[in-house]
Formats: sequence, C-alpha cells, structure tokens
Amino acid sequence: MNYYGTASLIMDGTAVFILAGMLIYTSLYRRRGTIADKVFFALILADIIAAVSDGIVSVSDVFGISLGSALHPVIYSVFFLAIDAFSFLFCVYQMYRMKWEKGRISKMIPILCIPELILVILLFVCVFTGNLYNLYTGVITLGNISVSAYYFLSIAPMIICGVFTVCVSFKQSRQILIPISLLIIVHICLTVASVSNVTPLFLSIYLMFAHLLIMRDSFYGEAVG
Amino acid sequence: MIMFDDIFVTLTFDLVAILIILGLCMTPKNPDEKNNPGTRIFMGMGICVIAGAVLDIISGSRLFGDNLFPIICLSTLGEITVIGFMFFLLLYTDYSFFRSRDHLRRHFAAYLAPFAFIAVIVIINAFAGILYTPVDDQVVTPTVLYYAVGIIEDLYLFIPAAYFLMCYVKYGNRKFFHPLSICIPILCGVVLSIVTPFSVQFLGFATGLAFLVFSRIDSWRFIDVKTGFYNRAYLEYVLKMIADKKGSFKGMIIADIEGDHIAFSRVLKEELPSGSEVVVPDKGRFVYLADSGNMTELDALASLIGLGAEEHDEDHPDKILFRDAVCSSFKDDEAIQAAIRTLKLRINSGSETGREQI
Repeated sequence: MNYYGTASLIMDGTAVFILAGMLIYTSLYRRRGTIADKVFFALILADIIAAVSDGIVSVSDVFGISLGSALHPVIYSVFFLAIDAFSFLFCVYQMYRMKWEKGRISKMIPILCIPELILVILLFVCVFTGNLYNLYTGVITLGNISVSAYYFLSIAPMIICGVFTVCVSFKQSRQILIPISLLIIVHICLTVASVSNVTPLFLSIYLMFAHLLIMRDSFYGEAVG
Repeated sequence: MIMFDDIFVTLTFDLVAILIILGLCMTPKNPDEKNNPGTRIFMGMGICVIAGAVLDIISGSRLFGDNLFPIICLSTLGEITVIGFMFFLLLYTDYSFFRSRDHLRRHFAAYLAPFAFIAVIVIINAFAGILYTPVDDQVVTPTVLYYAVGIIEDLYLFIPAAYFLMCYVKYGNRKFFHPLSICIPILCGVVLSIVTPFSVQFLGFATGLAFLVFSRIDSWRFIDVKTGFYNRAYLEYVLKMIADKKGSFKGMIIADIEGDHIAFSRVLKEELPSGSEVVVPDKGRFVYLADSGNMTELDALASLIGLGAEEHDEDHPDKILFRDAVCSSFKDDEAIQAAIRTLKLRINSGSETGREQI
C-alpha cells in the first residue's frame, strides 16, 4: 500500500471539506465587500487549488495512474504556485486585518512580491526547460548546490505565514497563540519527517482559526457599536 | 528522513486532531455561552477526542513491546473515549434541537445507559478477558459478548446519525445546527479507519467539531447583544419558516412595553421557561415564540409576564410600562397569515435592534 499517497489524499480531502465549509459560512461576509473579505476568499481558493492539485498527484500515486511527463510537473507547479499565492495573500490579509495605513501596505506589497516572483520564475524555468531541478525527485542541481526543492519551496511561504500569524494572533488574542504556535511547530516537524503532504490541511487550519477570530471580532464590533 | 509507516501516519492524524481541538477549545466564547450546557458538552467532546488521540499515539509508539495487558488496557480506554464522544454528541444534538435543560435531564439516563454498559464490559474485559481471550502473545479469540458489544457500539454511532437526520427532517436548520456537515466527517473518519490501516477517526471527529463551532458562531449574528435574545434578522428568518410550515413553533406572544427594554428582558428570563425563544425586533417590542398553540396557556403566560413587569417596578428604580400583549396560535393557514400580518404591522414602526448586515 502507498502510505504517503493515501495519507496525503485523506489530508487533502479533509482540507477541501473544511475549506468548502468555510466558503459557505463566509458567504455573508463576502457580501460586505471589504478588501480583507475578498483577500480571505482568495486565500480559501488558493488553498483549495493546492489541496486539489496535491490530491490529483496522490490519486495517481495510490492507484498507479501515470499523469505523463508533461502533466506531472505542471500539476506540481500549480501546487507550489498556489501555496506561494497563499503566503503572499496571507501577508496582505494580515496587514488589512491589523488596520495598517494604505500607504504602508502599498510599500510592503512590492517587497513581499520579490520572493514570490523568484519562486514563480523558478517554477516556470523548471516546467519549460526541466533543467533547474527535478520535480519528480524534488532535488535542485545547480553547480555544486543540491537542495531539496520541496523543502525550499514549501518552507519559505510557511515561515512567512507563521511569523505573521504569530504576530497577529498575539495582537488579536493571546488565548489562541498557544494552538497556533503548536500548529506551526508540528507543521514544520511533519514536513521535515515527510510522513505525508500536510501543507494544504495545515493552511486550511490556519484559515479556520483566522475565520473564527473574524466572526468573534464581528460580534464584539456590533456590541461596542 | 522519510517514514512510510502506518504508525507514523496515524500519529500525524492524531496530532492534527489534537491541534484542531486545542484551537477550538481556546477560541474566545460569547459571554452568554459560558454557563450554557452546550458549551460544557462541547468541552466534553473535545476532551474525548484529545484523550482518544493521545491514547492512540501511546498505543502506536510500541512502548510496551509484546506485553498484551497494557495494550488491552489502552485499547479499552480508547474504546471508552470513542463511545464517550458519541454519548456527548447525542447530548449535544438533544440540547441543540430542543434547547431545554429539562428535556436533556429527562433523556439523560436513556443516553447514558448503553455508554455505561459498554464501559463496564470493556473494563471487566481488561482484567477477565470476557470479550476476547489471548491465545498467545499476538493472537486473540473474540467471544460472543465481543460481537454483542460491537453491535451496541455501532448502534451508538448510527443512532445519533439517525437522530440527526430525524430532527433535521422535522425541524430543518432551525437552531443553526447543520447536522450533515457534522455527521459527514465523523462517519468518513470511522469508515476510513476501517478500510485503511490508519486511525483517522479522531481527525474526523475533530473536523466535525470544527463545523459545530462554525455553526455555533454563525448563530451569533442573530443575537441581540444587549438583551441576549434573538434580533430582527432572526425574526424574518423565523417568519419565513412559519409561513412554510417548518419548525416546531405553534404560537407566539407579542408584548409591547415602554421604558427600559433591558430590564424587561431580565423579567422575561425569570418568567419564561429555560431555553425559550424570544425575539427583540425593536426596543419596545418582544416576541415570544411558543412551542404550544394553546390560547389559554399563551394568555396565562402573557398575564404572568405582565405581573412580572409590575413586580419588577416595585423593586427597581428603572421603570417598565407593560402596555399590552397579543397572543396568536398557528393552528391553520389563515391563522398563520393573520399572525404574520399583525406582527409585521407592529414591528414596522419600531427602531430596529440587531443587524441585517454584519
């Protein structure tokens, strides 16, 4: 039995289920039409894309279906692009939630875009030339440097997400800081242990906690008003 | 480092389940919910999931080698946590649909009996081997009682699911409690635990509980924060449901007052049965949604509320002038339409409470 593929498939299925639920429960908030609500919607979509693309790869692994040499790197690239987009959107979202000034946000966005753009270019180079690193084995071979592409690509957005989540959680609610910090530590440990691809599920859990905080804030906002 | 082992995969699922529950338990709560039985039952479910996942991790860690007794003890405790979760889920379903402590108390013994029976049997088994007898270090032979307990356990799983479905058909999503979104992950977790070598049930339970918290917090937008009763948005939702002949409401009392409406809300909380549904469409108006359509009972309750308001005036400086109360019964289509018309006429002139938009 393919343990990695089966476990990843269950994780991705759970992530999609949680995200679909969040889409239903946040429909009223989307109608409010603020930028933060739109960004949150984009975050859910990005995570759904990541979970579905990883799910497709897991299904092919479990049932032994070949995706072909052309389709396989493209699906992997979509997965990495989705988690890159997630990390970028998460930073933007947190800035809006922390009520930063618009000028400050406008200055920060290009800075945050740089690592994302580098990752996007790397993926495009890989998909079109296949020279930079092998998406099947996940190993970058550039001169004497040999780094696992999977870790390189997944850890970068995870760190950005994690740092911002901790900062905002600390400001919004110290109570939720413990589970969020634990979540980040476990996410890193499980990614390193490579038991299965836990990233889409963990991203959906980050969003779930953010969603609960938004709903709580909305309730107290009404009470104060 | 790569670990392709079912134990590590199970450990991953259990860790994720624990983290989800920790996050959900630490999510800030509505102040009105602190003494709510639903919150306490939810905590019970959360504790069962965490305990079960921890036991699963200890069982999978192979700490005890081939020693059978601690493994049987751990599996016994694991079974108790799973059945305990189902027991709390049954309690939560009851409270979510009926919102009555009395109803919960009346049915508590019936809900507890199978749980207690299984708990006693599995505990005795750990010492006397009445469910399965060890043949050697690895092989066990199940007894007839083992299958009987298995059937009761399965029923414990499927009875809440059937109960959910029955209440859903009868009441719909009246209490903002979406049974399917909670049942699907729980059932998927159990099924996947059977068909795969991993223990996914606790992740399924945790996901189900996450949806339960979603629906609970979603209901906050229908609450008037000053009185703790439902707001006008909820009334519009309920009126549509009454017009469609859904839900269990059979009658209503519209009470008009002048003065401090927050003080009057305290009077209502004292006079009305616990778990009653009251809507505050505007500051001078309260609508009590009754499960009974008996006009004599409704009139008596309206008089009791009036008396309560008068007694309150004698004891407190914040005056309430109880103007009048109109009782309506939803006995047929004509009565329903008349009641809705009366209510709409009355609330059209008030200052709104709550929010139509967030």
